Amino acid sequence: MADESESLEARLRRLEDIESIRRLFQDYRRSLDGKDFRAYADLFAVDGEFIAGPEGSIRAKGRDDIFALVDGMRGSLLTDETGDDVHVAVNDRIDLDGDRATATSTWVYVLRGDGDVPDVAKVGRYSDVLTREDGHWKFLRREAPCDIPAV
Amino acid sequence: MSADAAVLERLQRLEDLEEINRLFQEYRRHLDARDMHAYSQLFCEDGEWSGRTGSAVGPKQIQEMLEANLSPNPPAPGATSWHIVSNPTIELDGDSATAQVTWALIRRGEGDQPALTLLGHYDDTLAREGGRWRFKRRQAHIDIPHHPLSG
Repeated sequence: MADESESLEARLRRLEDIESIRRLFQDYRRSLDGKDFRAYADLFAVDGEFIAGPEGSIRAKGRDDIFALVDGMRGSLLTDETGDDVHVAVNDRIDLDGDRATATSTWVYVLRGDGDVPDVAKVGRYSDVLTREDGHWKFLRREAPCDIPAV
Repeated sequence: MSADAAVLERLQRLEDLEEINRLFQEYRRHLDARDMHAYSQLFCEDGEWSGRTGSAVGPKQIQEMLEANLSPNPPAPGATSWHIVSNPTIELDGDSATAQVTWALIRRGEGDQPALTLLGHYDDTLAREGGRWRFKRRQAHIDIPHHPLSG
């Protein structure tokens, strides 16, 4: 029956969309920690926006500006050397709405600490609006407030 | 079984796993927000919760017990603690399921730095009740520091 196959298609699509968005979150983490900031910026929609810092004071819109912003964090908010900092992205919760979605998740920022031991340096949240652009899920807006320390 | 029925069954299995994973995140979200009413609705009518905080049966009793015994968790820059919920292993069996999940608690520690204070696991029995997956029983074990549940 046509109705039934349509419903099957929609149900399968829903699972695929959730899986694609989870992959986007991991690609984000991987490109960020790999200091591949071009690849990182490409995970945002054409007019995508990144917002962080106290009261959203750190922000950029569009891939070029996002690249410049994150590249500029090297040696300050991010380590200079690849491998000296790792984001652990967990607790994802995704709400789909057709070609849009919203999501929340938790991030834990771990540094190579003194004596080469892990230093859990920061914990915060991601609050996302996602959009399907040219068949791929992208960040339309990613907010990344830090909760601990309360800067 | 027809080919369509077999595909439907496979699809249903993935949807069930997805819904149970989402249940785990809803649990975490309501717990960290201390929305114990929404939290209690994640349990079956005769659902049980047990952990260091106590034990209770049924949504109403679970809500009352945790509201009485859990310390508040004001958002940043308040005290703020975060549960990390990961490593789910889910065994489906029709309208019931069992699962084990790792949890960790990160608190605002000395000098406003994150402190990993507890690590444990959940032992879960789940049931589909009224078309939705719910906790039939959730035991919250603390493994580090070692703190065995009585009974």
